Amino acid sequence: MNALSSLSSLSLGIMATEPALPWVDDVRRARRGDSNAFASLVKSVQRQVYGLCLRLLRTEAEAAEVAQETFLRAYQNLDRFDETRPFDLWVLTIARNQCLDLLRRRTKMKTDDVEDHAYNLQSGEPSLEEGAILRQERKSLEDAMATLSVDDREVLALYYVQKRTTKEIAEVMNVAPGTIMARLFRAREKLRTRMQAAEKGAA
Amino acid sequence: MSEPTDTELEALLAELAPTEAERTALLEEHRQLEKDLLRLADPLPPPDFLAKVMVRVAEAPARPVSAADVWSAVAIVAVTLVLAVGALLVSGGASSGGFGLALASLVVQLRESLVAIGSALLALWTTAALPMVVGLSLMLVATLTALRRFAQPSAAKVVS
Repeated sequence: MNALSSLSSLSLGIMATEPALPWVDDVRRARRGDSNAFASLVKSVQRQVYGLCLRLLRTEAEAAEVAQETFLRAYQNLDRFDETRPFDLWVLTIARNQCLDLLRRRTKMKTDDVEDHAYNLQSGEPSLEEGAILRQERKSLEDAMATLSVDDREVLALYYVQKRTTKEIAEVMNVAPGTIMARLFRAREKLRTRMQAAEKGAA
Repeated sequence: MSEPTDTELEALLAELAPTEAERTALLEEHRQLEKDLLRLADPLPPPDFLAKVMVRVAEAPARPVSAADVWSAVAIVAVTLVLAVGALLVSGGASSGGFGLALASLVVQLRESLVAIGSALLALWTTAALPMVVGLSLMLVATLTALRRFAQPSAAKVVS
């Protein structure tokens, strides 16, 4: 089997769809000062925004703070939002920039090791039938993912967790769409290596 | 920026798994990993997240004036000024004489008005100082209240 066709077969059907514009009405009403409309916009994307912040920053307090700041910036710049673009991608881009700013400041300040207060992503929504083994596997995966670089965590989170298309990810990360599949492959490979190392360590 | 192409992915694969068997095994592991990754979900934000966002939105000042806004204002003023000077030049200076006379007259009238207002205030002060102080105080309080209300962030109007 050709390697490239194998690679393409790894694509799990996350296809680009015709963009709907469900947010336009809420955006327009929010611009006119309708608080319920803005609250509705926040509700529609808060989980994705908070999730991305948490995966990039790895501390719950900072993720909540940055996510709140993100929505504040979005509100203050709502007039500049291009209605033809997806609202969620716009807010995710703001969130990403906020997170990267904070990470840069962190690096400059050489603050304490964030591993000490690492986040817990397992508190999401465990289904009732989810068994202990599955939860453990998920935890191992999350732990291994947490050891990856910011770029790798970001691309994996956007593609697999948030089920974004490569085009959407490229828009959020401000890179060429053609680079995303290679980034994904490299990130997966690093993740696979880390998980193997962890399994060997545990054995 | 160089775009990774299919060739780049091929090179990556060739480096990681030189033989066909290794390649198949590697891709199978990746496929399994993808299945596991797809099971992950974003965690829910804290329960009070939305409320906190809306409070911050209500308390935050309106969008601060950006550099772009300042430059837009400067551009508008500059264009207006250039157009005004242009209009004056196009008119051949015919109206400039009239304009100068009008301006001089305005200055004289303004001076006379100021002197008259000063005299009126002095007369008022000598005859009714207390009512004047009370009136001015009330006016000051009303103005400050109005300014305070005016300075409230527009964002606050969004959340009732």
